[in-house]
Amino acid sequence: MKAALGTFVAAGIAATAFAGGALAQDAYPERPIDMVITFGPGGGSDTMGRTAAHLAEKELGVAVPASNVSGASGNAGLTRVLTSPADGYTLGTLIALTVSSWAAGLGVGQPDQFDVVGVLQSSPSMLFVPKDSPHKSAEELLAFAKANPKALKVATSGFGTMDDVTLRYLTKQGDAMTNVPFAKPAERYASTVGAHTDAIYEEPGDVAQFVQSGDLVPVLVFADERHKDFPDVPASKELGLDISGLDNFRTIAVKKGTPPEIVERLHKVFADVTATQEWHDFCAKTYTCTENMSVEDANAMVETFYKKVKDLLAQPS
Amino acid sequence: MESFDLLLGGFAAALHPAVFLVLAFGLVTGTVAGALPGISFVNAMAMALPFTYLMQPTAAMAFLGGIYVGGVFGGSISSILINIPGTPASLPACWDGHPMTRAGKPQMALRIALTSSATGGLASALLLTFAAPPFARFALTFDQPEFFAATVLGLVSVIAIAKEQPILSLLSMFLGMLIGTVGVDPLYGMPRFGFGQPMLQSGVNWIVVMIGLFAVAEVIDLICEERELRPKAAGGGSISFRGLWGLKNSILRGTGLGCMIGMIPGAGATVGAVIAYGVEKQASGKGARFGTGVPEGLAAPEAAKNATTGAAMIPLLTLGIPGSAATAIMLGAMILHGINPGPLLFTSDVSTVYTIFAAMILANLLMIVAALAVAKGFSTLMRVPPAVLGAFIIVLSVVGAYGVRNNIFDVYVCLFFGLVGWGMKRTGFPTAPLVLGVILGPLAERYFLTSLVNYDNDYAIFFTRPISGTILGLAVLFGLWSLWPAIQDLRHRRAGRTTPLDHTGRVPEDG
Amino acid sequence: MAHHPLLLRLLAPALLLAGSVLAAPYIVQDPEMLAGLSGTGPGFWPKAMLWGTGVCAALWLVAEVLRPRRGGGLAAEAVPEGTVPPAPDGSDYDMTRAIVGLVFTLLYGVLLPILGFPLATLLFVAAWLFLGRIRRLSLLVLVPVLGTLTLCYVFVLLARMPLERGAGAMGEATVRLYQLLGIY
Repeated sequence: MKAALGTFVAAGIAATAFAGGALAQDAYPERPIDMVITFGPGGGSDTMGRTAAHLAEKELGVAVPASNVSGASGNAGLTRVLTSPADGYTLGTLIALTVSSWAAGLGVGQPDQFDVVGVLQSSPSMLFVPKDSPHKSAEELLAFAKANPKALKVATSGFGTMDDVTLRYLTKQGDAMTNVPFAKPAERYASTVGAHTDAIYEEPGDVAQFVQSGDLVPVLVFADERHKDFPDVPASKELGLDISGLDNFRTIAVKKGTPPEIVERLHKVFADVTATQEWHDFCAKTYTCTENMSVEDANAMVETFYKKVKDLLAQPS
Repeated sequence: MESFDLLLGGFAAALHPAVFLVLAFGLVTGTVAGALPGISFVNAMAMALPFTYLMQPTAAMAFLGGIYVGGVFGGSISSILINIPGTPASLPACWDGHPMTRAGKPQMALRIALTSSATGGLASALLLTFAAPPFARFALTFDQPEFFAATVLGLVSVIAIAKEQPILSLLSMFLGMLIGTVGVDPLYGMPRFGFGQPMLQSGVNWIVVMIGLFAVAEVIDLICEERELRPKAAGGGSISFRGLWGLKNSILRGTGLGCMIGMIPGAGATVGAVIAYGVEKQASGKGARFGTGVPEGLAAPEAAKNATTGAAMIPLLTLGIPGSAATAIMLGAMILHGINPGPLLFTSDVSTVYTIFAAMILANLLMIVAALAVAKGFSTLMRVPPAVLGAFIIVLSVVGAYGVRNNIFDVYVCLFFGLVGWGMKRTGFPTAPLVLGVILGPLAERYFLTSLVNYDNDYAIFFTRPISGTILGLAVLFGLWSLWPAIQDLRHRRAGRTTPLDHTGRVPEDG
Repeated sequence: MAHHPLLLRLLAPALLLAGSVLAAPYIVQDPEMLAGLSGTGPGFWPKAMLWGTGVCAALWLVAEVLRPRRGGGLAAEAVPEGTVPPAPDGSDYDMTRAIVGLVFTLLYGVLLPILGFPLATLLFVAAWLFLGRIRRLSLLVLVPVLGTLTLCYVFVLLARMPLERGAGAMGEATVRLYQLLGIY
């Protein structure tokens, strides 16, 4: 048996040594590019990654197979990006939630380990109340929170996230609300739609169907300016709340150290992707259309976001 | 009557050649993927998602629905024929289905499974069609304490399926729930039992554990026992229509349970099948012989498992709330095609809704044809030498474990549990409670902790909320009911010590 | 099974009991992370599960000690549900082959990221056939080669899974192989 095994191993090594030597560096891309989706199937990152991969195939001329590598707030997938060679053949989705998890001390990532080749989606987060909520506006909601600290329950994605940071900021302003974390988005939505929680912190695209059906009513957008799709909803700045720059962005990133010409090529590809009609229809449906950003600006945006969440988390609550 | 007209319109749309063809193709794909150990229909649906970009929205939903329905059944083919569950929900099909194969009656087992699954699935699809909106509103009154109570009911049913030693089953279940806590916690994002390893922070996935425990251990036995896989007689052990009719009560019970459980987000086909098996064991009056190839023990979980498919689409379509990975993928596909599920969908795009209903009904009818064809091909596969079959089952298991999250760490976990599972099997330590613990433990934790945060750390909340209290009360009753034979057995033994009559330590046949 | 000495039967419950006690400090990496958190916190549930495991293991241990003469402990009596009980005393069970098979399976997992999916699979299938007493050279070569090719086409080309390509030069060789096969 040993002899037979040995023969196989020897044959294998001989064959691969020959093949390996003959490998040539052709023009990028010469083989399929892996798109690592850092969250499970069906979610916002998944639809973004798969749609982008599908549209990028036409631009790149090779297949861009998307695969879900989920776990640890997106860090499992990024670990895979980081352990693959920096040759532009492994792309990963990098989103705000994952960056905020680094700031909370989770995962192995740091902003300077990635080059962001495309900021594909971005949206501020908002507070929504259920259809039959007694609090019809942001003013009423905040006034109630002031009068009854911690009585209002807000459904969020967890402790130590942007959601948590925002609620902590509100607590400091005297508008204390209780953070009720739901790990699964569907359970989070159901809880507020079913009025088991008083409000939900979420980006509008993820709850679009509830907003359109009227089951969830937007009352406040955490940004300096109003959201163009929700002109009647006040921005936090109008109410004297200085909490912005925590937008939910979704980007495509490669490992730092990827040759600059490949980074530039990918940046151009994703700029073209976002310019297509298909993409426009997709982002309009999810309220996440954003402007094209250079690689430097995108990297800087991730860095700023990271620092901001880190600072806010470091402050005593 | 209006809904009847709408349904007719739905059938017309679903029978459009383009839609019908992808539905049939989806069914076969799903059944094959389900039947291959290690490749779950969830994987198949995720892989199929990009292909749906090219289709019309209704065709895309029919395609995914076909894979879903076919896949949920397909898993039972391998459960019955080679004692390896193709999908988690087919786990109970091993317990009474495979013993039938061993007794030379694979055809009978397959027919029972197919009839029960199709009945359950069809009933569920009809439920979806006619009762979706009212039931969806009811489901919204469920909050975290109710979900917790339902999960506890699932965990209690683990004791119900245990054969004789509740302590060992409990131990196995606690071990499983402990394994389920590895990784980032759901509320604080804090790694537990991580030992500083980034791989461990991602947690241990239950599909991976299941593949390891069942597939690897079974394949090792396959080459060591020189087992004969070939059916002893061609088409061995058929079953008459009368025989199937005799199972109607089991099928009805399974269907009812499956429909109810399917509507609870997060529970899904596996929980439905397991609870149905536990209930059937008590209700059929043949509990003591369960695990030896009792038709009722196969019919009930099979009916329940497919009865969850249509029911699970109720919260998906009416609320946009997916209860499982499979329905989450469907939600993704719907959003990509511009269908926004929710109460609004029933007014704005009612023809799409009814086309989906019609497609689900058709899928369950066509499943019978697709499943018979796939099962036939699978029986042919049984004729290849066990060594060849075993080698490829292990390779498929490894690919399947890898494919869950495209992570090599999951392959190591799978093989580790292969080793553990083999050891457990050799010593007779129950493995099924461990898998169910890994599946249900994290759910229970999440519901428990979120309930506490939402209700001011009030532990009484689980009992004071009416629905949650009722379900927990049911769980306690169910637990006592299923432990009754063991308690009786204990009393027997006590008696046995003074009057040495019964040394077997077995539950009496009539127990 | 029923004739194992008491000590051997006590081993499994004792190990589980010890494990559940020893694992308690490792729930979170840094106990300070738990300080300052109100409510039940992330450590609550794992601790409860450790308790459950420990108590059950202790009960099992007690049961084994109390009934040394009644023909085996709990494990020997319990029939795993759904599986046909192992052959009595392993009379027709080839234990050596089982262990070699397990080693092969574990080796396959270890070699997968080093050699890449195609080569590791080819070697594993061939080794497994040999273990399964297949000695015809034609089968030993054809089955692994054709099987591996089919799997590559199905999973890499059709399902587009990012299966391991192997480390370093092996990774490049696998890419080369895929290009030769028309997969890439």
